Amino acid sequence: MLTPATSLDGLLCRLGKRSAELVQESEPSSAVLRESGDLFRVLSALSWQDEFGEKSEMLRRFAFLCWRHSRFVGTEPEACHWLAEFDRSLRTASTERETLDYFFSLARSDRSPIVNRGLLSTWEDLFLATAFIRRFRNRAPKLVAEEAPWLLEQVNSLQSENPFAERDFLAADLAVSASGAFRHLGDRDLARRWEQTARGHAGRVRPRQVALELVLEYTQLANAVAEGKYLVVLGRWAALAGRCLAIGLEEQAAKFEIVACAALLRANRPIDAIRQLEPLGRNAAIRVNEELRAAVLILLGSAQTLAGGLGDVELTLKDAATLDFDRMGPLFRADFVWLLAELQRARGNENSALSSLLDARTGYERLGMKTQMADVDLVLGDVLLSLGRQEEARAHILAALPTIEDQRMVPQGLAALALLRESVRRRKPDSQALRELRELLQKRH
Amino acid sequence: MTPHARKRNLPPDPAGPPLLHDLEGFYRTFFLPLVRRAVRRHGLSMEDAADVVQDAFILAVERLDASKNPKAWLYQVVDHMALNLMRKLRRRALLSARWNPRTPQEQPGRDAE
Repeated sequence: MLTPATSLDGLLCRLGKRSAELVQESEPSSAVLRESGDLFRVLSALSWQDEFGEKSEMLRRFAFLCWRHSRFVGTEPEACHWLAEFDRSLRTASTERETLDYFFSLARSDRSPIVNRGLLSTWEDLFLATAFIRRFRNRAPKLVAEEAPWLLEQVNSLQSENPFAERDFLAADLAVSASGAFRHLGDRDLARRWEQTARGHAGRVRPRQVALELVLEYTQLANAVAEGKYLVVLGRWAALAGRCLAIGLEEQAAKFEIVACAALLRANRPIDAIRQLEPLGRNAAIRVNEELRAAVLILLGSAQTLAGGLGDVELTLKDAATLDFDRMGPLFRADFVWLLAELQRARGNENSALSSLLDARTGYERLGMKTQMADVDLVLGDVLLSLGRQEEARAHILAALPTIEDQRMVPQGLAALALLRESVRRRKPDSQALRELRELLQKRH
Repeated sequence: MTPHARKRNLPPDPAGPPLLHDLEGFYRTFFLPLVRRAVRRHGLSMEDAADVVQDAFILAVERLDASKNPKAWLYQVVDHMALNLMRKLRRRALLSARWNPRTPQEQPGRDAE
């Protein structure tokens, strides 16, 4: 006879058994919502020697149950709260998370139906996998771009009944992840296509989820910034942020403001961007969220550099240096290092700037972020020209051209031409460079 | 995320996988948490969950590669075995319902007239 060794073992057994019973409930129930919330709180207060990350697994189970039922019998802020709790529990290391990590590292050919069935056989499994992908939206765009579409196929093909109508919610969430990933990778067409896919699914979600629709609006604005449509963003963000605040989504409201500041910066309005970013950096929702804080600080530093406030940039960089970039991931680190390079350049430290720019470029290259690489290549070209290293400058500028052409990056294209002309002007006539320049000009016209 | 290299097709090591140094200690530490997981995730009874986990450890004696992630390996094996058991139990229940129908004339304890 199996007997738990301690009363804590007994309690954990009972909690696990009860959670297994609750997850079988097939009707939305306020009783289940209430009980799951209570059990979540009981479990949160417990601690034990937890070799597997069992606590975070069980918290995820109860958070999932609360999310599932609150969509129907609770309020939308409640559902958002439980989704956030689920995501928070995923930040804790656990064997379950390691198993998923390993699964997504497998080549597709190694993901046999047996392996799939073990990990993705229930709606709860797909909910977890979707959250796992969501966690990497800003950290590993290549992974998300590969896996979100594949996982969406699994969501669409799962045959088992879903009385809680979660299929379209999961599909929309995955499509949003894919759109963001392709945007980071510099593929604006695919980013837009996945945005449309997300809209299609979100429109079928029942009951209607305003929070999901707002996430979609954010995706649309972020894609608009990438496409240079700044006026669209500046005309819409405030109303959308207001809608977020009306249902208690402070973090999402802050994200709308961040994307508006990105638009201001790209539209060459750094003073306006600074005016918004400085108070935004003191916003409570921003202070508690390290990724949002990093995004604000990096934008602020860029705006201050453009505006010529180098002393302010140094203070901003000092503030940003306290962030844990190892934990946040290589994208934030590359952005921070690029900002550092801008300050070094502005201070006349060309050699240090060169080293930082190369570091940032390597970071973006590892992430597969082509448009960022192209931007850095042009800055590298400019720095190398000022250091009298024309050949290397030309190599970086030419390396940027395919992406500039492919993604129709018009301002960057003009900058590249100007830099190439300058590199040619500073050297003896180079027929190869002139030929390449002529070919580029012919393509443009 | 710890970057994992894509699995490569490496030739098998003729010496076999390195075994876990202290399987007994591993068993003592992880048996109950794995049973609880099998109950929680697959809805097994405690007894069935214990059987599944014991079978997983028997397999671990032969096949567990200590150089990889033993906990994740056990997790997956327990999950597969639990799913197989659930499938078997469902099939058994279906067959039992088909071949042991309970009609009024055939109720146990009723004498034939």
